[in-house]
Amino acid sequence: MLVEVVQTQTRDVLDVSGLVRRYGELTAVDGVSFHIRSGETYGLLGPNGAGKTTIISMVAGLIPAHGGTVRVAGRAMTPSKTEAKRIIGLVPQELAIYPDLTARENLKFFGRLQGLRGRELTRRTNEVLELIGLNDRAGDLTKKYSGGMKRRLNIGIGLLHRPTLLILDEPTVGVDPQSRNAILESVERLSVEGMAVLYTTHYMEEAERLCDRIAIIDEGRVQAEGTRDELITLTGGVDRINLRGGGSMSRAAEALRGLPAVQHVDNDGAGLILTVSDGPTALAGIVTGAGHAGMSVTSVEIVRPDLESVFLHLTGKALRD
Amino acid sequence: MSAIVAIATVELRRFLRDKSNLFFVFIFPLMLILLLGSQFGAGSGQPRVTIAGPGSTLTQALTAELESAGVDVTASGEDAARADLRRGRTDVGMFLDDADAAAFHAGRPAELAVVMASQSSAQAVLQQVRTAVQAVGLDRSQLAALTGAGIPEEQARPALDQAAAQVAAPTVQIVDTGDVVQEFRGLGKFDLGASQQLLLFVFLSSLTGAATLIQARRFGVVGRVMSAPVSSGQVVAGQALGRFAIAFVQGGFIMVGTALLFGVDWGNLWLSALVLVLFCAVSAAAAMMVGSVMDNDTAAAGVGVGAGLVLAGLGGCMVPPEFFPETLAAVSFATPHRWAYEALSAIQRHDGTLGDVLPELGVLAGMAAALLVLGAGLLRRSLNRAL
Amino acid sequence: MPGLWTMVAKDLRQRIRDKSVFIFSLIVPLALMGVLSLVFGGLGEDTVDLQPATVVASADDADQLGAALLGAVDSLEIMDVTIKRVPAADVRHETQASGADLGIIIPEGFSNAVLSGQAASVQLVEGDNASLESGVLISVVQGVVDQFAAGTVTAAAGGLSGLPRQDLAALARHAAAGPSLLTLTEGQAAAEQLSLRGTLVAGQAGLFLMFTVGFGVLGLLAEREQGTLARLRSMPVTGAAVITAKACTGFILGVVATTVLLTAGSQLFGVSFGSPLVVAALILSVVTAATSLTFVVARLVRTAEQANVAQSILAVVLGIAGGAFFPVQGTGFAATLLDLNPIGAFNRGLGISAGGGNVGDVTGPVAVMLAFAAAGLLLARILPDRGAQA
Repeated sequence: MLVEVVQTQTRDVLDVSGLVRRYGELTAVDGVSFHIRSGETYGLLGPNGAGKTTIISMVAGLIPAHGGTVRVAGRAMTPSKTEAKRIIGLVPQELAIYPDLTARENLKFFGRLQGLRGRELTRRTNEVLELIGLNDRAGDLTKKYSGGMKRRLNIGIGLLHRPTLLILDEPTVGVDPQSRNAILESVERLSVEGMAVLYTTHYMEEAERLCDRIAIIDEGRVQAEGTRDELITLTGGVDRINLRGGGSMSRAAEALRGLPAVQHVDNDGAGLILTVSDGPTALAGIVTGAGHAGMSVTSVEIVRPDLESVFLHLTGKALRD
Repeated sequence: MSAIVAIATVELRRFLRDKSNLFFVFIFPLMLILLLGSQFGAGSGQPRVTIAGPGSTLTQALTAELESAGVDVTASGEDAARADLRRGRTDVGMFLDDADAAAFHAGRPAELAVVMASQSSAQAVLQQVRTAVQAVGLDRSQLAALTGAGIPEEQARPALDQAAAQVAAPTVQIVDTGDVVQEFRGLGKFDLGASQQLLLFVFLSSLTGAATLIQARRFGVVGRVMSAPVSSGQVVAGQALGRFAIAFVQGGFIMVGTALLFGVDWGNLWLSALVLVLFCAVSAAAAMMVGSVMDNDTAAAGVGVGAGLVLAGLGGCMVPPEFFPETLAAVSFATPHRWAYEALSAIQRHDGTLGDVLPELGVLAGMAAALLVLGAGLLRRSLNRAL
Repeated sequence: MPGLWTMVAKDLRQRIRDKSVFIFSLIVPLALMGVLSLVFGGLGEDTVDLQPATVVASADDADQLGAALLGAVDSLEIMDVTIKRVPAADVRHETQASGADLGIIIPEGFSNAVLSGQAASVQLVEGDNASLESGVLISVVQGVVDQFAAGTVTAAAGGLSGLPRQDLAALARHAAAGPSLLTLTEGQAAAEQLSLRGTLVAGQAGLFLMFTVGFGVLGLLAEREQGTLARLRSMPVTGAAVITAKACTGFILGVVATTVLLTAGSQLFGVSFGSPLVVAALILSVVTAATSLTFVVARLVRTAEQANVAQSILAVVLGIAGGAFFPVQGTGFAATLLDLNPIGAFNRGLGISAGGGNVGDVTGPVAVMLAFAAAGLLLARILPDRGAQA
């Protein structure tokens, strides 16, 4: 049987609205709403413990929500809705494979549960084995695999039935740089093929590289949502320029404060830190001005705003501990 | 030395902290000793007869006669008695009715229905019933003989009572019972079971503890310890000492617990404790062997349970070895259990001294040493093997 | 239920690949059956028939009553007895050396002592192995001596009552050996119990069944620890299907293991359990009961390790109470409790079927096992979940 692919021109692939989940007194997820369109890669960015995995668990129908709704391709998703589950593919954060079965046996088992049968099952199993580069070792018990190989299989199982929505929960945690890059590349490729992806991470670089839109999650709430550039404008879009050197720094600071692009100058004794509206354009004038005022500049650094700064700006906390 | 003790202490602490061990190591053996004592202790093997029928002088006479022969007599309904017979809960059932009672009362002949259960012991009990019935009938025959000779009944009865008091009737005297029976005479209700279960559980728990050793190897704990400035010999000694400490804690608990709770007499406590120490050493060394040879902890637990029970059975911890056929009795000396059993029974039953049990202690020490050397070698080799 | 058989097939494949199930379900119980049958072998035969016995005896041939006593022993209908005459001093030694069942020492002048009402004692030496036959023989001797005593007492009573001396001997004979007033009609009960070896085979099969079915439902805990339970939940299969699959796995393993154990056990130890149809009904019932119990365990525990311990405790408690190692007897409430134990009911059912019972005869034990299964399922629904299925 072919997996039913629900094309949604008018509807979103995923529509999450007002999601709430409590654990006793603690409200782990507090009114989270977002939606994902077909072919879009959507990131949930937040530190560990922000509630990302709880959101994903409700989206994938692992646990019931205490409030709000999840609709996958227009169908309500709850733990008992098997129809909605046909459309999604989940890659849990922790490994979820049988160590005492081979890669091929793992794939075939989960493929069957997803409704694949016969030749279709064999074909998809082979395709996925090819994709995750485990063709040579497909007949080995997975407990003999390296960590990276297990991770790849873990992801491959989620792709087997060509889900309309692929949910990846921190797929690169604890993965070596090489495997990590391979994982990111395959997510990009899937996105190009039109698969909608929900991607959680606490790595800013991954969210920036992969995601069309990003929701910044903290304390169970969406703190901000948008494309990378939209989020960055939230910080006011200012750059920071660090000038290092010697000489007459206080005179230089005075002089630079007079420049139109410079909003703020700070003298920390070892150099000057400037807040500038458009760093690259203003740079030449700043270096020249500092020199004229008697400062000998030895190094210059422009720091452009990133999601890290956005997170810091929104929550007052660093993304990573 | 401190490294060895540190390793052993960690092992003992891990063991005691795991609450799941508490039941099997401490509670279960005592429960089993209690159960065995109540099932097999004093009074076990007592013949059981169930009498179904209306209460009458016949019933009373039979009950009194059977009980004086040491039979456990129960009065019961007919259906219940038949069910008990089928299920072997009684050896012989007697089914009496009003006609039997009336005939007996009147001194007329009566035929009594008896039914024997299907277990082999029922035959001997049936014979006791025959003897008892005959004895009850004899009272009547005596009276009948006298009345037949022209003496009125009211005169014959007191004459019989008086005669019974005056003459010395012949008796049967069992002057010498078999060795086996003698061996267990004077043993407390729980004494035998306690020493058997002590050996069974100390060895069994040690062997199943081999799974912990495999886990320690798998989690890399053993490897990490080896990376510290500790020699492989010290690691092996520490593991062995840890297993030994666990076994001794359990064994000591069973000895003290049974002595306090069930009044088990362990004889000379120092000597019994010495036997326990050597037996624990054998157990610990055997656990090291299993833990080193096997790599799968679930399978090792299975092997531990299996080998622990099989060796205990062969070593006389389920059925006393005194009951073993000859070959089996010979085979049983290949198990450490049998040697420890012999030593404990010498101490418990015959007030054996150190000199008496020296051969047994020597064999146990030899077994411990041999297994320890072998187990240590295997463990050292296993550390080089990937899991 | 979609996905059910896919999951069962996967579980079975995993269990077969893992050697633990073979060790726990087949090898260990078979080994134990072997050892137990060896060690219990010395405790008696599996038959009710009495074996021929040897008696070592000393008696003066001229002694009338002594000869009568030995004659009574020699001519027993219920067993074949060989009497070996030796001097009184050698009886004890000879009894032990020759492995005889009983030694009888009849004192010199026994008849005279008995007839004149003087103390006389027949001494018995029990054989070394305290056999069943010794017990029977002792009882027989006791019976004969009782008769002599009755005669003596009657004669004395006759004397006291003023009967002439010359009539007393006849009176004694009449009292002792006259037609008995009470006679016995003996029957044997229908056997509804297993032989000793049968009990061992059935008991071990029942004991280890609890471990075997545990490999099913408790596999849920392994799924959780491997993270695969979360993945299963994200798939188009219901939670009920996941749990049912585990129960089916346990059930199949249990039925196969118990069948193999009973078959192998009956072949190896020469035990017959009766009609295969009845045995099959009993196996299905006991496996159902055991499987339902694993649902209760799965509710109570949090980790696979706790599950193993809980499972083992239940297995040994139910197994031992069900008679896996030795028959356990109880009275009153304890007896009722023992009757409600599914392993006990299984053994009882096998006893009935071994005795030739048909399916109708085992409805009692089957009902107990199925009621136990229903109670287990109900309990599992009521109990709060402590984690295994969350």
